Amino acid sequence: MPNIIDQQAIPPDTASSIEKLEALANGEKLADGGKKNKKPGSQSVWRTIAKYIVWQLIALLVVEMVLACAGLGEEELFAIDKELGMTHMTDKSVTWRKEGYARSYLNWDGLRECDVSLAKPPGTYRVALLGDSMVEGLQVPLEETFGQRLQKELTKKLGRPVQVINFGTSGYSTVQEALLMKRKVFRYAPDMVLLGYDARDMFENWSTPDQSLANVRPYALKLPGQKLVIDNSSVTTWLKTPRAKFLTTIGWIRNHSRIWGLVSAAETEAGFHNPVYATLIALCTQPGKTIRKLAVQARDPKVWKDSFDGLVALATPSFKIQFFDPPKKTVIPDLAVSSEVGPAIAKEKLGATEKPKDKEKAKEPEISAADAAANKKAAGIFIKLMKNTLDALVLDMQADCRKHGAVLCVQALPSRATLSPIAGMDATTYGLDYEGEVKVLETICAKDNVPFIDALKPATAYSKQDQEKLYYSAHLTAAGHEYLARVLSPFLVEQIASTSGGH
Amino acid sequence: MIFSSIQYFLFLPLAVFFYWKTSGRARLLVTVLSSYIFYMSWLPIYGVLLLAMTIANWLLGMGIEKAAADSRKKLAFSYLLVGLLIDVGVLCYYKYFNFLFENAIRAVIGTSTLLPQIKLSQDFIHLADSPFLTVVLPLGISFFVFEFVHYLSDVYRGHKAVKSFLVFASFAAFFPSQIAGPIKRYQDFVAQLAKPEPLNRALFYEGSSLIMQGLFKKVALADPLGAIIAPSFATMSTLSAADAWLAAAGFVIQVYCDFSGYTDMGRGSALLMGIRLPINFELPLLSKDISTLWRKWHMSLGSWLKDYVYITLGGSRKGAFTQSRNLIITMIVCGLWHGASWHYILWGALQGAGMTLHRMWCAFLAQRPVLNEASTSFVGNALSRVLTLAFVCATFGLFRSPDMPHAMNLWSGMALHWSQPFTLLVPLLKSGILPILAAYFIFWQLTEYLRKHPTMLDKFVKDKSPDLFANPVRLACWTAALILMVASKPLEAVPFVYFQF
Repeated sequence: MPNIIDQQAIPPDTASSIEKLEALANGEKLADGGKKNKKPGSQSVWRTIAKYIVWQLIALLVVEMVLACAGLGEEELFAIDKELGMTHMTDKSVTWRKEGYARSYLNWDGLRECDVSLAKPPGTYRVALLGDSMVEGLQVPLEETFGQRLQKELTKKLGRPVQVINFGTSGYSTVQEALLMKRKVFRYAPDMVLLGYDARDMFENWSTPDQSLANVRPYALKLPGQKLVIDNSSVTTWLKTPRAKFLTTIGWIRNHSRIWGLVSAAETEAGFHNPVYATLIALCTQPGKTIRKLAVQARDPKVWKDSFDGLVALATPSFKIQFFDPPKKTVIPDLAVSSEVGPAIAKEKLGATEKPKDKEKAKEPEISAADAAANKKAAGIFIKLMKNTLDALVLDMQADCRKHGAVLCVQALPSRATLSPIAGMDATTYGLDYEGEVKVLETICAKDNVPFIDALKPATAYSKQDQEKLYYSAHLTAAGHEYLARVLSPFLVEQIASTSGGH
Repeated sequence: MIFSSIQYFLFLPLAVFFYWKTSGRARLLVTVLSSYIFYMSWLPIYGVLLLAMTIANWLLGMGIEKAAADSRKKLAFSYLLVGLLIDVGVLCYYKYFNFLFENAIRAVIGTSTLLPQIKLSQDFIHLADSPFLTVVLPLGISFFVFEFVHYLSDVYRGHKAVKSFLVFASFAAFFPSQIAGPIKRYQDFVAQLAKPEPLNRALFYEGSSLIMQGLFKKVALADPLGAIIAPSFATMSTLSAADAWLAAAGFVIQVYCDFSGYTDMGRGSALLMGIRLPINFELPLLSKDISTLWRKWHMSLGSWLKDYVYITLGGSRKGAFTQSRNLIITMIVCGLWHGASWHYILWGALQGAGMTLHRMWCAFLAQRPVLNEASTSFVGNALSRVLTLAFVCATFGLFRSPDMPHAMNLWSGMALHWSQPFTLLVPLLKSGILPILAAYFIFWQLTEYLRKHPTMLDKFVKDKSPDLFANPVRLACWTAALILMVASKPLEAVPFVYFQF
């Protein structure tokens, strides 16, 4: 049958109908024709789906490239570790934007100092820094950290090469630092290990893991008359949780994808307890169980009412005309995400948090005198346990250092909680403030004959304004690192001179 | 409710759904109701103002038409005058009263210093220190007032008045263009409203792509840029030249992305309702000269000013001097339209002066062929663009400044403090905006090229039919845009810059 219709001019559906009619006219059975058409049709669906997937992958790759250039989504830096809970990722770009701004690269061993080799160059004095995020100093460029400042200054003062290697890791407790020292630090053959003590480190040696990877820690305990116990069962138990499994599964993505970095930053911002986020994660990790749970919840009319109220609240216009200048912030900036320097935050925090505190106070149930006394007694016992544990850890670290030909020194870091507290920051833990913790540490070091320096004390004499210049919302600014280097320098010169033959 | 809010993305599908599920008067009612819901979500009371002005202009439009049909030209003119008085009066009341009042008081105070026999009371002197009227400017008033003026003027000039109140109310309140334009022409709008383009997949893709493009410009580009430059315009401390130029250039890009982004979203939303709103921007920042830039920047306002101010003043008919005068007056009106402040007036005058200078320069070149040829060479073109952009940055810096002292501070930074440190560099790097801006520019260049030229990539990237599975490229672009928006958006939502005008 001659094709007299211009195929270009007719819509595709009509064209396929004509093809069918032509097939019938040629004597083909419709069923056969149907079979013939079905195969190419399903092929075309798969091809279309494949096309979508390929283009989505191309888009994701392009976005990854743009994010890499922009330094966005590079805040993920912890790898899961069965022993330590977490460690620095390796071969990883990290851009810190929450406080300050610094682009860093963690080398093959998770260190920011990329030019450091395992083998110590001859004649070089090596100092290994241990501590948490205050020592890690990701908020400022590497050359502005107190470690690098000390390296320059000590080299100059001592007239010999001094290398300072920073092993500081966010969220680390003393027990994690002790384990890291055993595993990694001694491979670099340090002559000195400078342990940085930050607020609540003593209590973090015995802490409960939560959803945040930064809070998954092994524990240490020294009971009276018994040996120090370091146990990572809290970590191995956590590793069995759905979240840990989820994070382990996407380990490669966590290490390489900046898009995941954005997700990770968003979950830190939203909080792991955000119900929508928690449900999404649960749906990914335990779909069956979660769907059953949701089905049970759906039978409760209160859930529907709450959801409806939430939707109404979302849809209620919240627009306030602003024009050019940003409105006065009423939202409390999250400490973890704010980039503001001290005073502004402190002021806002104070103003914003007073009321809820009052409300909370009003709600607080009254505690009887007997209960209060019992609580105090329990807190006292707990603090004593933590002190003993810290003491044992320091002794253990000192022994390890001696074994490896290094000397252990301890510094009490200048914690913001004491110098320039932000409202909402816990000033005390079990009734013990940071200055109290420093005194405990000083006593332990004196008893154990470990050189100790209180880097907090000189800053207490500063004016309020100068103290605030030392910090972003929680961590040290470049000025803070400069202060710390200035305080530590004479102490380290003295220690190095006394331990390495009077240079 | 702003276009980049979650509320709007809940509202729009509902509005579009009911719009297409109804027809005739019911559809008009849906259009009007949804537009009033959108408008009143900000401040309900101003819905009454919009309604009252709509009723007044509708009645006056019909009155003008009837009077003209009865050959009662004076009566028609009286209706027009009443209409203009109402429209411009309301605009002046909300937008210019405090400015006029304050300047009148200052003029009296200034005069009294010359005449020692007049002694003013302290109460009178203090009147100039704070606004006399504390009213909130109704959103989009400058836009809908200009549409009313256009309507009445055109009806007076012989165009047909709109008979149906619902049609007229739809024109006045149409939510995609209500708050920040584009300033519509009623003839075009009413014709489209009567027969909107059917919502097929092609139109849906076109509309939603425009919405996505606008959202990207707003969230990923304009808002982060705005956050970076804001401190430079708020300070009276010395600004370094690098900071001042970056702040000014940043604002030019911000306001372009913000306003053209808004227009894209408005046009996209209107397309989902089968209506094509006028184009408002045609890559103005790539213009070679200031006159071309103004032909391509906020085109609907430009054409309104040309039709109802420049031509009314005589346009270019009465010689070069009158043309220059008319240009400057038109641009001063443009400046005043943006706000009641001396720095807006100066900004407008400078734009007018720039356009006049450019016109004179063109006349000068026309008599010197060698120079003319040099000006069209690669170097000449590049120089023209750089000079145009520098002029735009410097004058838009004035536009962005809250007042004249801040503008002078910015200008002194731009001109004098070249040795001061570049403090905006860290916030700029921290925001990551530069690679995103560059990526958008490359993306836009690439898509424009692919759209206009046949290439070997066509079979992979181009749409053959508006089928649901026919455009994976578009979906991929949306995915990329959404992720980059999340990556770069500041923590707080920022309203569109042109909401204040």
